[in-house]
Parts: sequence; structure tokens; C-alpha cells
Amino acid sequence: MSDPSHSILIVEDNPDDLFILKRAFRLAGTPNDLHHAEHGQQAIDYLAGASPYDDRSVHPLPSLVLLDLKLPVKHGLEVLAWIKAQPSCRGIVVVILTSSNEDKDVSRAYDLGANAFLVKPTSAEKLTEIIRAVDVFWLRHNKYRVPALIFDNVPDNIDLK
Amino acid sequence: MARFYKSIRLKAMELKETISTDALTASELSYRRLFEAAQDGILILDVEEGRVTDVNPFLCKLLGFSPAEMVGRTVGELSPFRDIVSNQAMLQRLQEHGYVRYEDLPLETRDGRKIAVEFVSNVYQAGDKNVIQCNIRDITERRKSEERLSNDATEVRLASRILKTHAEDLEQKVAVRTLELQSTINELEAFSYTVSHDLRAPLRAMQGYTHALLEDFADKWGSEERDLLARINKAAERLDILIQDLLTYSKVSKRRQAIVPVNLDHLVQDILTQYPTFQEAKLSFEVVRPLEPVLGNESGLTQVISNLLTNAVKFVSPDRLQKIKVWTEAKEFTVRLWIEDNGIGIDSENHLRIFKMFEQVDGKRFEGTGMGLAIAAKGVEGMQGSIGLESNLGSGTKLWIELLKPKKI
Repeated sequence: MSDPSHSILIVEDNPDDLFILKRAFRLAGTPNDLHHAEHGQQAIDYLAGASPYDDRSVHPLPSLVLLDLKLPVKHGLEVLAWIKAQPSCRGIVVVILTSSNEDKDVSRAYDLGANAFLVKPTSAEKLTEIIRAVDVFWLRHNKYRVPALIFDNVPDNIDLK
Repeated sequence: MARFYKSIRLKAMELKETISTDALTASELSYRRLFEAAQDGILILDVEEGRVTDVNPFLCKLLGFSPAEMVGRTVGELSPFRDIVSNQAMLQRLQEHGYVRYEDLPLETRDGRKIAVEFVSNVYQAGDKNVIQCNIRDITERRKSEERLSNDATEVRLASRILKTHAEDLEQKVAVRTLELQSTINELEAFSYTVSHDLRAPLRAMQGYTHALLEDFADKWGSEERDLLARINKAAERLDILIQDLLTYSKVSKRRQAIVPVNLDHLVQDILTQYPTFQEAKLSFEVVRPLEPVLGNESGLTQVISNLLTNAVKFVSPDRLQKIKVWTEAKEFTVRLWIEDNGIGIDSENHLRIFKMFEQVDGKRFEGTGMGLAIAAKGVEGMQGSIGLESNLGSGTKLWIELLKPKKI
């Protein structure tokens, strides 16, 4: 059973893809809240809690961001770089879900700290399969850090004792 | 006694004089020899008026005058030096500096030959009086070769300037071409990015919606509607495969990877055991091992060979047991990998067509996009290899790729 406290932000500009994606989550049986941003800047505003996303009870900080790359206003990689530069977003897992499987995009995404890179399949069955896998791994088994233990600065030396 | 001593003294003095006279004579003799044999012209002038008192044979020969024609004249009066060396000026400078030097005097000899000489005069003491010795060296040849050298140098400079201009020109052209090429590559990349991202999005929508209609509203459709929806889905799937193959093709054309020795023996075994396509019961592979190694790159070769094998197992009459034979043939500088099937074969008219994009000779009967061999051909081309086939309709096909042979270690 997925941990329903994890909410998901889907950053997707294509309404068709959003429809199919939401349907895939439904078929996968994921009970988590799905939030949506339709371009890069909207995603940043959402995560920053800027208006109209300033009410965290309605727009909670997500545990997982499903991020498309080719997005209007701000490119997905810019959003990714922004997320990874925010101390407040350090607990967020970013999974790229895009139709590009260009090696360049994959490398850049990992360089910027993406947690996973998934390529959108064309078939709806395969997408459901992928979303099921996301659900199992990132929502059931993955251990997230406790927000209270997110520090403003990354310590220089991590005490391993 | 005193007389005796005196006579001894006299004798001694005489002796001394004789010795010194002898010595003097000896030194004069050797000087004279030098003077006569010298390969430089020598003039001896008196110091008062600068008139020639002696002249050596070399100078006579050089200028074409006899000693008699020169002795008694000043240098300025000698026709080759006339209007060139002022006797007065020379004497004055000799008096002041003891030394006069003209580095490059252009002279004309008696027979009208133009020569160049270096002219050096010194005052020195000869016995009880001063004389002027002028050394005249013929530097005509040296001048000429210097001139030639300088001409050569000028030519070299000119040539190198032309070369440099050409090089700059070439560099500029290369830079322009590189820029053009880069922009073409960028355009191609942008193009394939657009293809992969934008063209496939509507396909996902088509497949997603038909899938949703079929699954989510399953009770609403009769078998006819269901069949039509499935056809839409199928068409979208096929278009997706076409687009993916096109992308693979453009990626293969772009890829320029290092060419290294590749162990084909392992590579082919891996492909045959790992690809589900090749596990079917009706297939029988015979690999004549060991396969020779080739120069290529592993990922490129995996793509090429798996495409060739897929091709080999695809075009077969459904009722037959498929036999595929794989072997290598080592040539002097290359290795040819053969893949033979017992499939339907290809008419010789169509041999070239099959390596082109989207070509399938018998398109209706078999699955696929007709891109497999085009991708293989592009891939082999990128590894400096070649591809070809031997086939006749109805009697199977022998496809081959030929790649460079690694150097023996």
C-alpha cells in the first residue's frame, strides 16, 4: 500500500498526456494526491509556494515530482536545476518522464541530480506498467527523508559514526 | 791584442749584420712569394703621392693591365678606379685613420667586364719608410651568389606569403564549412528531437484514448466497434515503430565512434542467446566457430548483426524449418561475416533496394518497417565497412558485411 501522505506533482503541458497519465495512476491503484503544473514556471511557483499556490493545505509540497522536459516558459531541466538548488526541496524526488530519449537529455538530467529518467511509451499499457513501477518503488518502498532534518546548508563533513 | 779584439768585434758585427741581412732577405723573400702568388690583388703605393710602386700578377690579370701600365700612376688615374676612388680623399683618410676600406667597389676591367671588389688600404712601415698597401679582392662571385640568395630568399618569401594566404584561405573555408556542418548537425538534432518528442505525442494520445475507450467503456462496444478501435490502435503502433526506426537510422548516421577490435565470436553468441526473437523452436542456427575478430564498435555491431539476423529469420515460408548459418571469411585486410538463410530469397533486381530506407520487397506479407537493413548499412558504413548479398528468388539469401581486420598483435 502506498503511503498516501506522499503527494505527487505532475509537470506536463500536454493535456492528452496528462489525461493518460492520470488514468495510468488510477489503473495502477495509486491513492496519492495528484497535483498538476502545466509549464516550468508554474512548477517552480507551486514548489516555492508562491501565489496562487501559497496555501500548503491545498497545495502541499510534493514528495515526488514527475517532470516532463520539453515544457513551455521554462524547460524541464531548468525546473530540475531550480529544485536541486532549493534547500526546502531537498527532500523531493524528481523523476523525469519525457518522450525524449536523447542521450544528451539523459546525461544532463542526471548531471543536474534527477533521481530517475523514464521515457514515455506510446502504448497506454506500457505507461500503466511504468506508473505501477513508480508507485511500487517511489511510493511504497522508497524511504523519504524527514522534512525536519533538512538543513539550510549541506554540512561539509558528513559524520558517518 | 787590442787589434785582435777589434777584429773579432768587427767580425762579430759583420756576422750579426749578415745574419740580420739574411733574415731580412728571408722575410722579404717570403713576402715576395706571397705577393706574387696571392689570390687577391695587391697594390703598393708610395705614401706621399699615392703612386703605384708595385702591383702583383693577380691584380694585373684581374684588371687586364700590365705592371708597366700601372706603376707610377695614382689609383684614381687607373682607368678601372677612375671616378670611383679619389686619390686625394684616400690619402687624406689614410693619414687620419691609417686605414681605408671600400666594401663594394664596382669596377670595369680593360676588356669591359663588370666586376665588384673589396678595397682595403693600410699604411705600414717597410724598412725605413712608409708605404701604402692596397688589397683588392674580387667579390663578384660572392656578390652574385649573394644576389642569387637574396633573389631566392625573396622568392621564398613570396612563395611563403602566397602559401600563407592559401593556408589562411583554406583555414577560413574549413572554418566556414565546419560552421555550416555544425549548423546542419544542430538542425538535424533539433529535427530528430522534434520528431521524437512532438510527432510521438499525438500517437500517445491516439493509443491512450483508444485504449481508454476499449478498457474503460468495454461494455459499450459491440465486436465491430471493438475491431475498429483496435485498428486505430494498431495503425498508431505501426506509425510509432516507423518513427522509432527513423530515429535509430538518423542516430546511426550521426554516430561516429572509435573503431576497435571486436570479438565477433562472443558478440554473435550473446545476440543469439539474449534476443527472444532468436529463441523460437522453428529456428536452427549454425555458427561456424570461432568467428574472426573485426574492427568496429560493439554497440554499432550489435545493432547491425541483430538487424541482419532478424532479417534472416523473418523472410521465410511459414511451414519451413528455418536454418541460419553464420561464418566468417578472412581476407587479406578484411573479414567478411556471412549470414545465410533458407528463406524466400531476393530477386537480383531488388538487391540494391533492400538497403534503402522503408524498402521491403514483399511489403504486404511480412512485419516490419523496411528499415532494418538500411540501419545496418548505415551502421557498417560508419565503421568503414561494406554490406552486400548473394541471393536468388526462392533459394535463400546470403547477406554479408565486410569489416577491417584487426592488426595481429
